[in-house]
Amino acid sequence: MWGRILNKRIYSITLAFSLLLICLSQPAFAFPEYTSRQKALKLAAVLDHGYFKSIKISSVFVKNRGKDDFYLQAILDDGSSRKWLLNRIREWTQTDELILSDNRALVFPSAESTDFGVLEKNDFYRSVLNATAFVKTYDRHDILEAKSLVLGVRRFRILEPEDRKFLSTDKLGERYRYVLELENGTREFFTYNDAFALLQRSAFLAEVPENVKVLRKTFKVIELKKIPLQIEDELREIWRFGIEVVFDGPIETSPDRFPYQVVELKLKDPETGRSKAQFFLQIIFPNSEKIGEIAGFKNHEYLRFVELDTDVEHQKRVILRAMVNPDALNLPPFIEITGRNSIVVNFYSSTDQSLTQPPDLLASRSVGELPRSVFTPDLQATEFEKNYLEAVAKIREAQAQLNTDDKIETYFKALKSLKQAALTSENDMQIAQALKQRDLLLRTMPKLIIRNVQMTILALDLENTGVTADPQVSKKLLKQLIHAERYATTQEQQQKIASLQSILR
Amino acid sequence: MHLSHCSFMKQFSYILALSLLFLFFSATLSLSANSGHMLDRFELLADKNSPYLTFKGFFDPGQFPHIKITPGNSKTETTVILPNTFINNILLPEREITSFTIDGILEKMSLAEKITKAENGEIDFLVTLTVSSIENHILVLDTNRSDSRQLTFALQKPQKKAVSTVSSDGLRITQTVKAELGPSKINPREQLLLHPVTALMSFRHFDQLNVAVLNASPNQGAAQSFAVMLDRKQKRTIEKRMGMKLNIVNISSVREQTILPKTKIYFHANLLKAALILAEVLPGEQVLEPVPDSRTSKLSTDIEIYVGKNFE
Repeated sequence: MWGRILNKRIYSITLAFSLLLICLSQPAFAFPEYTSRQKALKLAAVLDHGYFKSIKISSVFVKNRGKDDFYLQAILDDGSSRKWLLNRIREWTQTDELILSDNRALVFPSAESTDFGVLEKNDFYRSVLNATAFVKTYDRHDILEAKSLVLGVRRFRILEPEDRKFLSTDKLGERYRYVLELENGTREFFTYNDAFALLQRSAFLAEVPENVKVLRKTFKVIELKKIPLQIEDELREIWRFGIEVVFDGPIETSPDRFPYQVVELKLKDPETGRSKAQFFLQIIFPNSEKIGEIAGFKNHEYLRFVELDTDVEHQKRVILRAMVNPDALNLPPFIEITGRNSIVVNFYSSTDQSLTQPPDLLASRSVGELPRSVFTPDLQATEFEKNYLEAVAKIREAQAQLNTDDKIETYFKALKSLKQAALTSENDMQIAQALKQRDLLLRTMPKLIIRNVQMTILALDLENTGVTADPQVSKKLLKQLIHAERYATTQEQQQKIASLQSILR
Repeated sequence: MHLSHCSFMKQFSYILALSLLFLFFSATLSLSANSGHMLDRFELLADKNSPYLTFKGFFDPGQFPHIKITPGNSKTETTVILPNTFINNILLPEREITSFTIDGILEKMSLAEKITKAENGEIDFLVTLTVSSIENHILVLDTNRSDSRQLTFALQKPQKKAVSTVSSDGLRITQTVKAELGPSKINPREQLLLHPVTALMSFRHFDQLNVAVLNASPNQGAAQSFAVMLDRKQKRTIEKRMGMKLNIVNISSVREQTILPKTKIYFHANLLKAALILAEVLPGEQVLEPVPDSRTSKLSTDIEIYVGKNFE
């Protein structure tokens, strides 16, 4: 019975279903066979008088299969007529079986679209030979994606049989044709597609604009230094430590050219034999090299096995690598370029759980898309934004001030700006954030003020000598104490404030 | 007994076959179904240095790369083709706008909506936008200022190129962005967001993490399998650890040109912690990177997972 059922119906249905699936899935990821009328017309004009397998093309005209599916029909000099589908045209251009007239090359920049371009090879040669600098823009999925470095050009060559990449192809099946040797010791291999795209992007600079710095040699790492733990943000109890990477010369590029990534590796535990996930934080330094052994560190705060390695997959790149416990990594690293031929990688640690503490899942009932940031995507800065940015700037200014009295005064200014920000806020998110920052400040201020007044009294030795302080100073300190009294959170703080007030009065 | 068993099996076979067919057709339909954009209104920010033309409405940032910008019939005219786009006729009834200020940037803007039915029954809808500027301006899609709620075009003055350009007979050039060579200009807002400590002061904790799963593996169904695994097996663990709901907003079954050896998790600013939790919970090895500045979809997704070759 089963055999009969299978033979008669199921088998045929399954077969038909599979065939249909194969047929439908095939074109989804392949280069299209047909194109639009407009593109077909333009392509026919381009191919006219070219060569197909060494035979001159007499004429090319456009034919169609359906309303929107166009292809080409070519008449060759030997009298033959050929139907040319777009995918075949692309393949022939890749293998040099289809060559355009006037030293041009047909390029298809995308493997999924019939959009095409024509590379004027003579123009390309002139550009590249006149170029003194090359704008290297990193590809998609590179850690430096879409970022550019301007590199000095040493020499341009057409690939020859003895070259490693001669006749080899890229991921799109395009042959490498040219090599550009750069002054930093790297080499760039180009296909016709690359050459076309680079010309479009003006990647070859004959004259370098004044504000552009051309990198003519690599940054060579000399040593790694530890930067000890210090307070970064007293409001949130965020601490900062760092690693300074010292180079042989000034770093003439911007900090965003040194990105970071976290890499997970499953390593086998030698004792148990079970694999365990380990996380490595990596800072990438392009146009850099390690010319000698650079001593790393076994430990530096929450970093383990800090070392500098050469990137084996990319030319002239080094990686600062450290093992991290993902639970300790609350904030991303921050890169600073110093004026002493070095780059400081700042790491942050915090004991304040609210930094990463998630909101109560059950209490969260948001509907629709809520803004992620206090800043609206609008292009013009709102009143709120101006006030809020001013407040943040003041908070950061205060945090950098060593004099506690100055710090308190700056925090007062920040509180004023936060009030203005709250008054000018346009949505719940903005007002909530402004009030949250205000409350953080208010929570910290009593402690700071008490310490400041205590230190001033000690400095003036008012307690023992019975001498009264300068009325101006007293007035200022008393004003601070009034503020502290209003926002003191503990009984102990209240008592201290009362005691200090009595001394000052 | 034997006969009834056979008849049951026969019925079962029919149901199985029908279910398979149903599944197949629904999958095909879901693949062919288009999401797209809806234009509600527009704004012109006539700043002298950097003017912008912004459309407000609903947009699918994943489709921004399909927007075609081509020169129009005159030097000052530019045509923009927005595929899979509708115009909100109630909010944006005019099709030709000429009410720009005399000393402004734009002279005229026209919108044409085209809805066609293909031979295979699919509905194609697109909007052609023709912009005429007073001076010669180039319209460039500003991905940094475009997201799921707005689509922004920068109106740039043509720059003199340092080298001669190639003549192109093709219709579209995929890479026309001139690299920013000089030192990057960072405005106060960006400066604040770039520093991890000051950035803390601008983001809020949110309760929903929007994740896109995209395929960068040679296996065509990898993104789908990954999303299923994420949604069914790991969702509760991840949500519990992150304290956020996990919302898979996009699964792309279309394979990228690039095959990644390892699954890559791209995260937006302030989401390093969430990305780390995801990586810890997910099987296999992952690479985590901040979303490159050049990428689109600023607000629509918080995390993008490119399923790599190592996912089985």
